[in-house]
Amino acid sequence: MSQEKATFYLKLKVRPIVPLDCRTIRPDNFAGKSINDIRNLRIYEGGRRTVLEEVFDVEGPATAPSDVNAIELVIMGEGTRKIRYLGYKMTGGKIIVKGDVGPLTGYKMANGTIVIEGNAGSWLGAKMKNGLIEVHGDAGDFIGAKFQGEKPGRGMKGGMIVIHGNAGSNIGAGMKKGAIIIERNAGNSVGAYMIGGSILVQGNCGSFTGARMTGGKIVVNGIIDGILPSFYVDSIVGAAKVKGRVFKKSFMLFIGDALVNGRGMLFVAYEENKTLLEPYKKLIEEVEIT
Amino acid sequence: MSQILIKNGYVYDPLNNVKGDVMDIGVKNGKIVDPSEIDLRQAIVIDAKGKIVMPGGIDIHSHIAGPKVNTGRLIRPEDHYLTNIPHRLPERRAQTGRTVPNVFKIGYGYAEMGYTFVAEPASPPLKTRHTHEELNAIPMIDKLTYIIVDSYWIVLDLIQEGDKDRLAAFLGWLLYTTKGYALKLVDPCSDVAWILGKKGLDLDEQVPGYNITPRDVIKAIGEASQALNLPHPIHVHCNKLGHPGNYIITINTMNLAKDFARREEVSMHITHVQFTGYKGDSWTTLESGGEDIAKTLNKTIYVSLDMGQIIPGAPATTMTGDAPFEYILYHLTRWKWCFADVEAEGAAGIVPYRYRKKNYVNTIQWTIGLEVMLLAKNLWRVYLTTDHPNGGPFTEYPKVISWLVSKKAREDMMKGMSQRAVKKTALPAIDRELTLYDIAIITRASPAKLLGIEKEKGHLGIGADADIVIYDLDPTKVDISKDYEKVIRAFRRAYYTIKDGEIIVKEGEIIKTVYGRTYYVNPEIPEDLRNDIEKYAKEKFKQYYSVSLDRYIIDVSELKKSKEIKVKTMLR
Repeated sequence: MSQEKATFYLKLKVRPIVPLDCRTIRPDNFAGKSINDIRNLRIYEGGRRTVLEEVFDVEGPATAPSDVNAIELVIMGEGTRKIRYLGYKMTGGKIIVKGDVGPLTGYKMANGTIVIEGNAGSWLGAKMKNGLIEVHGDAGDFIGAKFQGEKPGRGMKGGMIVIHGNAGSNIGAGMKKGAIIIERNAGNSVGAYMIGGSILVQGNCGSFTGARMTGGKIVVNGIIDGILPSFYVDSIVGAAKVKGRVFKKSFMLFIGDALVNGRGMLFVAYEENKTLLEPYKKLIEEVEIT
Repeated sequence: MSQILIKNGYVYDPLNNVKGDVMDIGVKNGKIVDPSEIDLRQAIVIDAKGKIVMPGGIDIHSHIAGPKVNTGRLIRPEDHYLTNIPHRLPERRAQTGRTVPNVFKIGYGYAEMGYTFVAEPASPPLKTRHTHEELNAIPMIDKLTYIIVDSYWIVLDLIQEGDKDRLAAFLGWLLYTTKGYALKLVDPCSDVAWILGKKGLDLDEQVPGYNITPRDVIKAIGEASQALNLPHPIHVHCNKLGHPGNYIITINTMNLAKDFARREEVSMHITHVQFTGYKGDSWTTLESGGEDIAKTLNKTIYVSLDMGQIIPGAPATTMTGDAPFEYILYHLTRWKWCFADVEAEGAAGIVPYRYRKKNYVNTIQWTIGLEVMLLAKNLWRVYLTTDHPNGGPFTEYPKVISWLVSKKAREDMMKGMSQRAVKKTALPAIDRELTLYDIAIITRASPAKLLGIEKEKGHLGIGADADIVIYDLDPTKVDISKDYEKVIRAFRRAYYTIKDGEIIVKEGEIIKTVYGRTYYVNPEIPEDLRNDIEKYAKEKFKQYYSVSLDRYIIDVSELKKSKEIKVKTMLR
């Protein structure tokens, strides 16, 4: 077993106009195969069944190493946004996308690394078990989420997703473990239905944060649009910790969601959201008068 | 129309007393004919050597159509992920779904297993138009629907008034109006109580707002069904379904059948008996009542049962007109629940569920259905169902068949289940193994007899409809009690399925989409009684309904392909 890294370059021949179902493009399917076998991997272009070399120019060593972790795939070309299901159930290795990528990337991923240098679509890392996904651009909705209609806890089960740009809504819906870090802003319903794990939003955050959460931790460093009335105010703490990162400033700690007897923790930066506590302060004053 | 000759198959045809004999079967113009009538130059010859030939299967209880199924599809998007099978036109449409599949998957799933006739068991009369719309869209199979009448206010009014002829005439009129086939009672009267906030009724509790008990209702509707001479007897889902200790109610209900039977034959069908066969005071002390129910069944000749077998490990969506039970189940599962109220007629609920192998209660549930089936002396009065999708999807029937034909299959299954539960049941001590002939009885011949269509369905005699299935299983070479995996494989994918003289499945693949007929009854009601009842119904409709009577009546033209069964009633 050679420990040397083998890099395969997959370049789109023409800009695709229909979605490409690329669930076969993962290091597990490459391991131990000759380049000819790899070129004949089955993919779907729209509803049409085809092979890898019809759509991509594949370059790389004549045979791939049998060790999955030694394989690196680089996907490039114009129109990579149409690729979906990339890294489906991958158990190791590395995929680098030089451009945007479509929905369901890293779906049910078990290990390994995916790096996306552009933007990512929705359902990124949905139901992933382990591994690392890094997005240099923005990401869509339902990052690390469960599918609609499933029970809470069927979402992300481990691993880490880092998004350097903005993210959409329903981040980490139904997640069980693992971490999602968003370096900029996020949309509505962050951490809905989550039962464990942690989510960090460095920027601003929309409404309904932590709706129906029963466990886990959400940290919002920027401005939040509002807190659900089903969250208790617990205390004001001096610091919040997520995945080894410590933020030394005042945070309001909310516990919820009371609708489902939840014990989830929602940290919201105090300085940025001073007005949030106004209604509660008023209540306290009223109580003191009477 | 094409002619088909099936040669040298081992034929199982219980209605004609054929037990695995090697025979030829001829098909001409959609009917079975004598093989000598087939013109070999035009005919398609199928070599069935070393394979078994049976009539098309008949499922008497499977929730395949109606508003509840559609709502089930809506509240369970997760049931459809990664189940899509793309279309291959012109022979096959796209399929999706597992427990609440789309209409095409239902038709194709049944055809692939060799079933050609399915009964939708619960449709409230007001919503039956929707049921028929969906039945029209289901390909491959013949179908029919039962009408729920137990919590119907007008029916309860008539029962309270006590005029038996008018009640029978109204029910007959209702069946024809809604193009139904038989009368269904779902947890008798509990929906009336439920709407007023009571969680279920016992057999002798008073129905709120009325001076009657569920016992009176079962008797009155049973009598009416007998007076109307309906081909299928009343279809009863017993009181207190899903409550520990309800097997007594089931037995008491079974004992009622004798009171209103007019002839020496089945006058009441108790459905999905597994859900109503629980012994014990609570879920923790639950035991199987299957043995007692089987004993009662063996004593009487007026009752038939179906299993309602659960499939541990497979997902299920419980949907029933028994709304209070669904409310309780929702509080057990604490996930999602959908409830609907049908004005003046009943209610329904939907809760997704998953039966688990290691679970104590689920293991007991699994044994009850099998115990009833294996302890029944007369197999002509027990039927194989999973109450799709309540106990498990219908696609799991081959698994149930394997548990019935093989003790080894049951033992292998029991190894992975809750041992505390297995020790409490009688199932490990039962050695009985059904034969393929017995399977042909419980899935083909006896359902046809119970539905009153044994002249044309459920057998391979001359003149019958050419609904034939060939399974790739050699009974002389394969020991079905040991190689039960082969039985599952054979029954899961029929080698050939022939519907109305056309080959629709070949080697487990759909090769043609055809549409079956919808059966309904037309009971003859004397002119003056009919006019009287129509006038009565019109008045009551103004009082109870938000729709007018004209919008309620379903015309024959609304059924895609229909078959009327004319019934001579005993009404004067």
